[in-house]
Amino acid sequence: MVKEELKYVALLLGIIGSLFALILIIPLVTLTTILGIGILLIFIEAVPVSYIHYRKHKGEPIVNTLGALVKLTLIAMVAAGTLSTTYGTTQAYMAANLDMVLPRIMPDAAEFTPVGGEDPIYYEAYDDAGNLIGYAFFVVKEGSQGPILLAGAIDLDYKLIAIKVVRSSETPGLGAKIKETAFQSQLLGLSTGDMYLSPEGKIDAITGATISSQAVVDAMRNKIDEIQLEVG
Amino acid sequence: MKLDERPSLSSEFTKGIIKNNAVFCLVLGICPTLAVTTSFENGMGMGMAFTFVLIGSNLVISLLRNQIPPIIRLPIFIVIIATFVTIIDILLEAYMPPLYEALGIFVPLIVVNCIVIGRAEAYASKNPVIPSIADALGVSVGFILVLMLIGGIRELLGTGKIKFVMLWLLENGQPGFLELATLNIPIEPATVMILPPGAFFTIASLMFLFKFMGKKMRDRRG
Repeated sequence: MVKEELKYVALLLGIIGSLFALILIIPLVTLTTILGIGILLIFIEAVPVSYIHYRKHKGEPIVNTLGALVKLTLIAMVAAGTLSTTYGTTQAYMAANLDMVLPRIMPDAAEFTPVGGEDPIYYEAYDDAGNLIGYAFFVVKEGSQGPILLAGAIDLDYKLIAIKVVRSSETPGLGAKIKETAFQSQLLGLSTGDMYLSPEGKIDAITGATISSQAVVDAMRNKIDEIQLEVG
Repeated sequence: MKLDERPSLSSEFTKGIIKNNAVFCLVLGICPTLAVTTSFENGMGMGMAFTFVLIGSNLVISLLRNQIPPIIRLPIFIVIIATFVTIIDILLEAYMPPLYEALGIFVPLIVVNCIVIGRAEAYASKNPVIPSIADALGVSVGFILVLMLIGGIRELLGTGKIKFVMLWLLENGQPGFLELATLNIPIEPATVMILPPGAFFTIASLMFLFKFMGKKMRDRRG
C-alpha cells in the first residue's frame, strides 16, 4: 500500500518537474533574446537618451538583467498555471458540446449508438422507430495549421449526407474556407470512389488552401472506407 | 490644479464613454468594430469579452506597475493580456459555443487590440488599482455601447428586424443570451448593411454625427 502511494508521489513530482522545466525554458530563451537586443540597442544608442538619464539619476543600473529575467519568468509561470487550470476545469463542458454536434448534423436520427469501445470508430444512427438510417462519425486530420476535427454523417449507401468542421485553426481567408458551404457541398452525396480533389475526383480545392482541402477530403474518404470495412 | 490632485473616480469613468470614446474619438479598436458588428447580439458578446480582458489586464498591470521593469514592459503586458484573452476564449468555447463560432478569430485578436494595450501603457502602468478599474469600466462601457449601436443599426437595416438580448442564465443553467424582445420594421432589408461595406457606412455616419454634436455642444458652451 505504501509503495503504491510512493509511486503516485514520484509520478506527481515528475510531472511538476517537467512542467517547471517547460515553463522555465520558454521565457528564458525569449528573455535572453529580448535582453540581448535591448543591450545592443543601448550600445548603438538607439534607446532614448532621456530614459538612460532617468535611470542614472535614480542610481539604478540601466538594465537589471537578473531582476527582469526573474520577473518575466514568474509572470509567465503564473499565466501558464492559470491557463492550465482554466483548460482543465472546462474540459467536461467541451466534451458535452461535442455530444451536441451529431444530433445537429443528423436531425433525422433519434439515437446514436457508439461502436468501437472507449474512443468510438463510428456511431450507428437510429430514427424514432428504431430503424438504422446511417452512420455518424468524428475524424481528426492534420491540416496546414494544426489538427482539424471534423464530424460527418453517411447514409446506408455510404454516401456523405452531412459534414461539419468542429474545431480547426486554419488560416482565416484561406484554409478557414473549409467551413463554408461552397466547399462542403461539393462533398455531399459522393461515394468514396469520387472523393478526391480534381482532376482525379470531383472536388475543386480552395484556391490557396490545397493542404486544408486535401486534409478534409482525405479524412472523410479514409473514415468512410474504414466504416465500410468495419460494418462489412 | 495642483500636481498631486487626482481627478475624481467618476470623471475617470465617464471620460472613456463620451469624451475619449475609443472608437469615435480616438479611432482605436476599429478592426473588431467593423468585423463582428453584424448583429446586436454579436456586438454585445464581443463587448463583454473585451470588457473582461480590459478589466483583468488593467487590474493586474496596475497591481504590478512598480514591479515591471520598463525595458521589458511590453512583453509583460502582452503576456498578461494574452492570458486573459485565452481564458475568455476557452470559457466562450466551453459555455457559449454559438457565440464562440460567431466571433471566431476576433476573440484571440483582442490580444493585439490597440485599446487594451493602449490603456495598459497610458493608464494602468502609471495609476493605482481603483482608478485603473474605473478607467477600464468607462472605456469598456463606451466600447460596448458603440458595438451594440452599430450592430443594432446594421441588423435592423440589413434584416428588417432586431433581436434585443441580455446575458443571463438560460433554462439549462448555462449562461447565454436571453431574448428580451424582437422589433420588426416594415422595410425592404438591405443586405449590404450586413456585409462589410455596411459597417463602413454605419461607422462613418455615426462618427460624423458624434463629432458634429460634440462641436455644437462645445460652441454653445462658448
